[in-house]
Amino acid sequence: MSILQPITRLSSPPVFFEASAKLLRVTVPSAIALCAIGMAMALFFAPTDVQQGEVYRVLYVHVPTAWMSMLIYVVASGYAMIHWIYRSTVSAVMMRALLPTGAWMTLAALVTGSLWGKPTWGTYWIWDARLSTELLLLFIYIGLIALASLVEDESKTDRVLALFTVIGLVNIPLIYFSVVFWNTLHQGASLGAPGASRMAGDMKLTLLFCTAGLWLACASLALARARWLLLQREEDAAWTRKLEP
Amino acid sequence: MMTTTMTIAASFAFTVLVVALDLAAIRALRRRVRMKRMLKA
Repeated sequence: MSILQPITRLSSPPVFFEASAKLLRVTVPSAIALCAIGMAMALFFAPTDVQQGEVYRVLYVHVPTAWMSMLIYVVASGYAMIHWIYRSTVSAVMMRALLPTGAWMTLAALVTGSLWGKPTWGTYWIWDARLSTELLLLFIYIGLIALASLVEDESKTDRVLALFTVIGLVNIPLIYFSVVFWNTLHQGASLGAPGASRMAGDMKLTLLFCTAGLWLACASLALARARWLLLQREEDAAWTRKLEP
Repeated sequence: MMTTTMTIAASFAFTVLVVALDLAAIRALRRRVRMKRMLKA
């Protein structure tokens, strides 16, 4: 038996439908719990920043939403590549299910960043490299969602949607490294990257909870959307006829 | 000009709103799919 067999089995629509239901029973309560803990920690536990004061707490929603906006695009591109190679229905459905959640996260990152920008930079918006490339990501998401809904029979646009999703992937390293490549008003990477700012342990822990909670929330939203998109697409298949309406 | 508390509250509220809107869109999709399936059955 190949070690990849459990993964390849998930490309079968009925197997995916059942497995995703089981997974959602774990991810939804975990997401709610982690988001609640993360939010409480962000508002009451995390220490005040020595330079920015209390307003830096916007970071606990801005950074996770910005990370999710990029991560979701990378994962959607992964599914796009899988679909391009194997043409499986589940990979196409997952690619489509991730796009709206990614667009919402990008909008949230832009709006929360803008709200944070006013008290710290003195402006809601500036045509800075990081902000402009993130705005471009929102336009890419909107374009792909529009393309996804062009034709009623969704399976006809899967291949072209997969191709354009992969092409748009070029914007992700531009966003991530924009603060390194260009002189920008935006601060450097929060964690991980070379030259990343050093955060206090309590701040890192709070950010970890907020990010894990939002990641699970996004995964749950995408999985839930994928299940209904799959059911819609496979309405004439034998396995869907056995299910209750 | 927004106060610090208002800025933090608005950021958190907008993020929660965004998740709620995405959830509402999924529920609308579920309603459509269920309705279609019921009409077909």
